Amino acid sequence: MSIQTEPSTAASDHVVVDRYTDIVGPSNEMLGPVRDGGRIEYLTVPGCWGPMITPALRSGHEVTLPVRVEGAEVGDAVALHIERLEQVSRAITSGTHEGWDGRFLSDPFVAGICPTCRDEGRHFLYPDTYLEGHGHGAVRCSACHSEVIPFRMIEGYTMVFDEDKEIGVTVTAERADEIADDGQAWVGLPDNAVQHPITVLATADLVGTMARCRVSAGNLGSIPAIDLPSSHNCGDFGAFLIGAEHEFAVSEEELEERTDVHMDIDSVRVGSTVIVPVKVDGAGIYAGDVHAMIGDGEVAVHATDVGARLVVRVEVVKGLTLDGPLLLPPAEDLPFLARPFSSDEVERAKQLAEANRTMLEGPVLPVQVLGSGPFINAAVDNAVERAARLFGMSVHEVRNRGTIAGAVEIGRLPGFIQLNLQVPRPILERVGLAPLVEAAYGPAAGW
Amino acid sequence: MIVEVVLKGTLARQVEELPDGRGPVELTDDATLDTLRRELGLPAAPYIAVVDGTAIRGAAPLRHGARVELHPPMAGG
Repeated sequence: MSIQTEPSTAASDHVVVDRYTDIVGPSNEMLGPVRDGGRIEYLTVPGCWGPMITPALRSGHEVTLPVRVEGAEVGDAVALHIERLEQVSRAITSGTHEGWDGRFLSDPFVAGICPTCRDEGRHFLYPDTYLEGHGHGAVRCSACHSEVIPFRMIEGYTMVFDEDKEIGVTVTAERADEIADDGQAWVGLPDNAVQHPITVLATADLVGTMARCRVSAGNLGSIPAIDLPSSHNCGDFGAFLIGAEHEFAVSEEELEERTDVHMDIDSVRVGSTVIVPVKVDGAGIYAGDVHAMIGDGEVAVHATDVGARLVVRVEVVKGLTLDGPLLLPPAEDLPFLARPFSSDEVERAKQLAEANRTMLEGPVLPVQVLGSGPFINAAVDNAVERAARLFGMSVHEVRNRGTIAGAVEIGRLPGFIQLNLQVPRPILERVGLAPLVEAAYGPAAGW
Repeated sequence: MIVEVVLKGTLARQVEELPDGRGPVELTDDATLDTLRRELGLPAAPYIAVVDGTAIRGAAPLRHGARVELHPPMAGG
């Protein structure tokens, strides 16, 4: 096995990534390449809250640099099989947020500023900062030393995890303060990370609450065809780039160049396969924003952002042209109506069909088509339209199939959803998905 | 015409005439979303506007009785 971290032209079996970015797109340096069938090992850093208190990051997010996949060309897809996902962080702080008026342009996630430097005629955009003390006042401008944190944590918690990373508990203000003293170590931030450890906020509004861990990756996939703040590579948050007054403003048409891999779906975990579009030659597969646990909908807008070690096996799917990602979650994560039929169910359906002078359409298998938009209904429309294009169905057929033998699940509010469908096998075969789906769930039973 | 305005998130405290972040606003009959924004004194930031359940853009005309929600920039995850 060869391991490399620097770009080269020879494809490797195993590429390790421990360098980070805030922006994703064609301007990225691509690491690798990794060969088709090889593995990428990412050392991810927290995706959201740590970067949000680090205004030098132009995204409120920090993800890994992308890796070039040998043989992946625009119009193909890449299947990412998650083989390993292990949490590194021993403690984090998180909670609900609001932007801090006057400390950003248009969007606090994208364009933090130092208002003092602006008023005094110095460079004020994306200020470099340092930490002094704990709490919201701890983030200081390196030039003028004023407080510049662009967000306020409205209510939050500091959570510690057990050795096996199976249980988390929120701690007292006194303990949160102790953890804040050594945040870099508790969060497990590597040297190359830019973000401040979020534990510096030492927030403890929720104390003594226990939670069950189920680690999942919030960002995993390919770079978009235009440069985007990584947090906005999705149709819900991305919608706020339209008409913005910062440098990453886009038009509605340009936003279609996104790859939608900021998903925040709890099923993007070990045993799942994410199939992503290739919109730049080489795909540029990046990862980040791992959560210790994240409930469907992520109603707090933020979950437990942790550092992690993530290993994926890459598989190029030639000629599978996608607009956004598909997901094959572990079978146990599929909703009841979307689970593969058993032999017994198929036999009973055959008899029922025959008794009614009807022939079954044949074997079907589940696929999740992901969609996003400024709000949930728009995200559902997006997924339905993507499914209709991909499978050659009318949107009404997709809606009917998704209702009687599928489901819509909410990945993230305000607008990222999973549309579950049972798709006839000949269609899966035609578009090139049958081998992947059968590898995930086995051949359709009873045929 | 009169539209019912609901300001979300931090927008809710930016308009003095709508201290609770919501209430009726009177506009001319040819008013658009941009007209409403100017009437409320809001800068041209990238809001998401949802009118009667549908997302619309700045130049879209409004109608009497519409419910207009303005959402400030949001991200997370």
